[in-house]
Amino acid sequence: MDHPAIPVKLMVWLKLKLQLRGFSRSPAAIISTIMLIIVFGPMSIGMAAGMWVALTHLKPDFGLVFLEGVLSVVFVMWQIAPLIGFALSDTYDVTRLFTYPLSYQQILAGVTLSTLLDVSTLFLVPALCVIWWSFSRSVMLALVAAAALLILVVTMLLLSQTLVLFSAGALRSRRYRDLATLLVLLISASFYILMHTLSDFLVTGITHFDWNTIAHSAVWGVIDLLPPGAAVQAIGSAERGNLLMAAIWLGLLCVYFAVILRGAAWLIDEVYHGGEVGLQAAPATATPCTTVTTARESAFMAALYRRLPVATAAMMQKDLRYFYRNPYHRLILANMAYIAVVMLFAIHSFHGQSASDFAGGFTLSMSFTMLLTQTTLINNQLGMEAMVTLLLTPARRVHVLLGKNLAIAVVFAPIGMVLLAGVCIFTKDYDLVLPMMLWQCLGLITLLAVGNFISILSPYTVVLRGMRVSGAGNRGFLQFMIAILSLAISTLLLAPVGLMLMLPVFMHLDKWVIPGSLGSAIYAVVLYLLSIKYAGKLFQEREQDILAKMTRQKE
Amino acid sequence: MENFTDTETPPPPVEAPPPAAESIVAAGITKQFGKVIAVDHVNLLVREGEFFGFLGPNGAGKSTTIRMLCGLLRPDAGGVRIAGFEAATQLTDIKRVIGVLPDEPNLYDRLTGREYVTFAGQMYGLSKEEAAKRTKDLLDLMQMTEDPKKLIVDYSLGTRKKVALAAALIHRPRVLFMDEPFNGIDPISVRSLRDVLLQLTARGVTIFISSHVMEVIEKLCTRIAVINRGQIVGVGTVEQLRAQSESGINSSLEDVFIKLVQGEIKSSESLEWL
Repeated sequence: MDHPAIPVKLMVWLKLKLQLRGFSRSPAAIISTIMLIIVFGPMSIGMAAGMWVALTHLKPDFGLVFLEGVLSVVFVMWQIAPLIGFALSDTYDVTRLFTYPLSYQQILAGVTLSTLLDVSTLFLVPALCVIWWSFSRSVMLALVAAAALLILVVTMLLLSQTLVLFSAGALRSRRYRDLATLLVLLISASFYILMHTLSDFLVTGITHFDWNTIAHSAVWGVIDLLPPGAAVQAIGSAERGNLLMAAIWLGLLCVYFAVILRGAAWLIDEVYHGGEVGLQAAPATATPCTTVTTARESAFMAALYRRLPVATAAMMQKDLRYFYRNPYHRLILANMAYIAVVMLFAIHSFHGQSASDFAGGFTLSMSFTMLLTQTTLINNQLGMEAMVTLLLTPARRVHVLLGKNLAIAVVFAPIGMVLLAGVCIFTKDYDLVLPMMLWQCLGLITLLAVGNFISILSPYTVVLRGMRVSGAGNRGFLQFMIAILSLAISTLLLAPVGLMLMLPVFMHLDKWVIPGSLGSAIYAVVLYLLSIKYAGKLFQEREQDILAKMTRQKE
Repeated sequence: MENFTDTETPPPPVEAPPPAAESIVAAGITKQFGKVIAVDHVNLLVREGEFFGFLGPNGAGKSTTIRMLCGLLRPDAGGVRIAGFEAATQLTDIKRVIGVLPDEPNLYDRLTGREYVTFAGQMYGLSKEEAAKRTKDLLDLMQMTEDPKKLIVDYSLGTRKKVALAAALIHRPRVLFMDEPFNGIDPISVRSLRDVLLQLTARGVTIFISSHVMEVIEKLCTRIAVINRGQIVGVGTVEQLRAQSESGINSSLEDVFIKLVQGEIKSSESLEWL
């Protein structure tokens, strides 16, 4: 391995091999890949088409502003996403290469070239081609555009890798991963508000919008000096025939590239030689454990635990701890909070049209969404269980299920009821407060009844990869289809509760409100009692099959 | 279970006390994964209070056998009886009397060690107070020096093993299955644990241990079974295994084991370049 390029080639080969194997290792992976192409292919092409429309139909100045905006967003996304656990780059862990006798230049080159093969990078290729094609009106312009885009993309990928390596110590810490849940919520909510504002603007404001104000905003002066801005300014200058300015902007872009390259090289060299650089996780302190610490619980909960079978109370207590300690549970709670943000923002945009049918209907659909969000956990209650440990205990399986159901109910029911009551009060739909609260409560009972069976018949181990949640064994498409089918069954069995409760309220059939409520309560409770009786039995019968399904056999 | 015969187990030594009650009985258990037969008609009999070693090379079928004995895996053929309970019909009763320490502890990562062991105790039917008291005693015995607020997800492998072992012991099991129990545990804790395990067998608890550390097995176990390619190739005391493998009187358990599994020690002659 004398030639310095050989290790780089090997790294690129490894990347290609891992990527292709990831797509083709099983029929499920192949189907997932096809789905990926079907879903993301058109998105990528659509983005390119949008770019083409904008660059050919907007005035040249506005086109460049638009391009600068888009490239800046992409650039920022590539830097932020890995830090909150969404690996846009699925390149192998750089630190694994440190056991080999490689120079930092080789590692840098190998990693950067490999990153160009990432699916997320390939996703950008059609849009980049369209941008380049739009500015290929002359040979010189085409050359400047190609150089600017290439340097920009490589700089973007290099900076992203450097940031990940710089913060690897912290990113791998559990505390950071836990904190990232909150960041995901904040980013999702901000993204929703941004998209909502944007769509409002596209529907109502595009014709009256003052493009001049946007195009000449002082903000661009700052963005121009950053890598995406410099790249666009180089293209713009070349388009105007000012090659000197184009060269200066390209020079600035090259300076960014060189600085980031130097920083990345220094960082890799330091880490390679065992230096502790970058953000590190705070070391855990070990102290002698001499006292028994028990979680503080309210008098109500303590009294409840005393009345429950021991295994039910233990399971419930364990699951409640998981709700505030486990990122998966917190992600589901974050989703509910996200829906609440969406509701409040949407209702705010009604401009105070209180008590309107629109507001009531909207609240109903959002409450339905909120209930269905909970099915992520309800339909796979065993997904985060230490199954071997659980199934080795002689605890009655019905008690285990009951404990899990109670934990979910104790968390989800109050949150759902309070959020919906708040929304109804905000919209002055006071007559909807009680029905909505009852709907959340009975809906949850119904979903639990259905979810108990689904959890036992189709369990899958939940694997957290950063902030991404997936099933173990990469069942991909099959798992996705089962989840869709489960959701359909849950919706079907949930519908009678909603209809009996809400039809009389929305149709103003006052004399049917109480019988409807009673009917839905009886339906939900009977369904649940049947579920707990037969699902407990089924759990006992199927436990070895469940375990075999959820854990891979060692030998 | 009618087909089971005790012929695989040699007669006990002359000075041994009269045979105790059967604790673990496996009668022709078989498990096949696809085309691979992982465990092939395995017969085992372990008596109450025995410290029974279970040896085998990687992939021999040890873990699969243990999983079937614990009721975590249904055999394709054959039957299992633990402490007088039939696995096919009395699985819950079996789980009530066994403790299991798997090779890779399968714990609830987001609990503290203390919370986890107490939880396990409650799942075995102990009251919360009793479970908490026993947890404290067990973790003190294991010399757990972790921050009480630290979650299991942040523990080292050795500490996870200690927690898992505490959870396996909390309900005073009559039969204890352990897969590589000392792997990753510090020598001082190993010593304490070995003393505890020996005390347990003296009180009639049966211990079924699987390990690759021959010294531990040789020192602790009263009888040993060797499995290879899914079949039992030897069972008995170390002396009986020596006789079965036609090994010399001074040969170590390691030599006996290699002979029984017909292991080939690769010569390093072809590695001159190394």
